[in-house]
Formats: sequence, C-alpha cells, structure tokens
Amino acid sequence: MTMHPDDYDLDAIKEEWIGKLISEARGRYPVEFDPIRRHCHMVGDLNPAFLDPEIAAQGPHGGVIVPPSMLPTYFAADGPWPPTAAAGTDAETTAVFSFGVPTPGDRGINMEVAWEYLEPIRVGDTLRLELRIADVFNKPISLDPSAIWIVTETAFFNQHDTVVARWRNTMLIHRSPEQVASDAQRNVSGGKQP
Amino acid sequence: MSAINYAQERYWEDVSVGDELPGFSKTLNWTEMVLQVSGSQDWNLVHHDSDFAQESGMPGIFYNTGWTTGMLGRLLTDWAGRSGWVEKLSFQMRGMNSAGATVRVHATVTDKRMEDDRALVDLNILMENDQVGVTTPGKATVRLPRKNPA
Repeated sequence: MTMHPDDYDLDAIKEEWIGKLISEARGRYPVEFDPIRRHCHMVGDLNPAFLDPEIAAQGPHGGVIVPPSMLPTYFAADGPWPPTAAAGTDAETTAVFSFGVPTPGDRGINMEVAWEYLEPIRVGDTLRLELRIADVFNKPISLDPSAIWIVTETAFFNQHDTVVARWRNTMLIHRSPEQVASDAQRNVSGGKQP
Repeated sequence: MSAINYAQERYWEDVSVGDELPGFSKTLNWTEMVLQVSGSQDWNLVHHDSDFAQESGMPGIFYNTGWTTGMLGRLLTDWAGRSGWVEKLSFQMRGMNSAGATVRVHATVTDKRMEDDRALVDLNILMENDQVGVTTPGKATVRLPRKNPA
C-alpha cells in the first residue's frame, strides 16, 4: 500500500512516532546450536567458539555463544524477517519494513547499522527485545524523491533481564519506479488533492 | 582445514596502530545466495527474487544485512583470538554486493587505548567487491586481553 507524497504529513508522523515503543517481541525458541551453525556456514566461519560445544566449554565463555555478527533478532522474535504469513509470524507487531510508520513507499533497504555487544549470549538463553523509533526523516534518493528514512533503536535482554546488546538501525523506505511515475499521472490529471 | 589458530590469544600489547587484518574473500555464486537466506533467515524478496528486485528499481538481487554483518563479524573474530571480544561494530551500506561479485573484507587498526580497565583496539573495516568497489565502510572496537593486567 503506497500513498501520494502530497498526502504525506512528515511533521505529524514525527510527532506521533518518534520515541514510540514499537515491539516487545520475545523469542519463540531459546538460543539454539543449529541456527548458529547455519549463520557460521553462511560466511565460512569455522570458529569452534561458535560451532564446537566441547571446545567452547573450555573457552572463556564456558560454552557456545552467539557470534557477535549474528543478529540476535533471530532469537528475540519469531525467527524469519520480515514477519510474514508464509512463516506463520505476526506481521502486526513490526509491520514489515517501516515498523508501522506510515510511508509513501513500501520497499525497504537497510542503510546503516551500529551494534554494541555487552554480554555473551549463550545457547539456552531466552531473549526478548524492545524496539523504539528514534527518528523519521525525508532524504531524497535517485530512485525516489520522497524516500523516508527510519531510525530504530533496539535493546536485547536475556532471561535475567540483563541488556546483552544494543542496535541502532537506519532503514530506507522507497517506492518502485512505477509507483514514482504515478505521481506525474496524478499531477497531470488533476494536481494535488484538496 | 582453516589456517586460523582459534585457540591462540591475541594480546593488546602485540597490536600496533597501522596493523592490517588481511581478511578473506568470497565469490557470490548461487550456492552463496541460498546460504545467505538460509543463514540469515532474511526473507526480503530483494535478496533472492531477481524479478522483484528489478521491479523495485534495483539492478538485481543483492546480499542482505545479516550476511554483511556476518562477513564483517567473522573478519573481527578470526583476528581477535580466543578471548577477544567485539564491543562495537557499525557500518554503512553504500553499494550492493550482487550475484557474481567477488567480495573482500579487510581492516586496519586505527587506535589502541585503555578505557576504564578495558584494553581496546579501534579498527576501520571495509567490504569491497570487483563490480562496484567499496560497498560497506565501517568501524569496530575490539577488547583484547593484556599480558600483564594491572
């Protein structure tokens, strides 16, 4: 679902959404070995701290931990992202790319990521997250002059309510070329709506 | 077999500003494309559906944030040794890593410092490919053990 940029009130969106708690998702499963293995094999990581329970037990963390490079969102929510009916996950809590923030476009690209890793996340831990909107702004891109950028801040907690990681993320929401072209059609056919 | 000795420590005292992390390369064939979806569980169509990606205005599918984070994280943990801990990792996605590209990640030590009792090393990290050059510049901070902690 997209909207014409002339109908978009960015000031009102900022007023309503910045600082808003969007999600308090909780992991469907505890932290497990096999998703960690799949993550490691995705990038050719053979580190036994992440893959070998016997060797990891003798290491500084006393067992297998989640690699810092593995997004803990996987274990702190329903698994696959974005939430989708195909995965049986709840699309209401995060409303796909825009986290529920209304935007002219419906296509998402991740632009900037900042992680702080505070505590080890171990196999068997249970995670939850709190995700808030930190900023919403318009910054045109060549593809879409009405692209909207959404900054989120997420804290991850373990079963002891200890913050184990923090994540600041900047997502760009844009329209397809076909959707952008429809602006001109509306301008030609009648201009801005009252 | 990996050439990396994961049991070895990397001590803060042995690191110098200007040290280079040689990193590693990966060629993005179809198997890698499948692995990035499987390993990240990112089901966004722009990462595996060429038609959707092109209809969205992209040249084609491109590799996702989970994969990018994984590549840069591996770069750091391969280097940090047995007790090293990645405290911070940040990066910007300025270009796409697409099917067929050969991607290289590497890094340079830019500073080393003590903060409270933590022996820290700051790095500039870089992902680049043979299709578009630098795609992902970033920064990281790694905490390392000391040989003779105070």
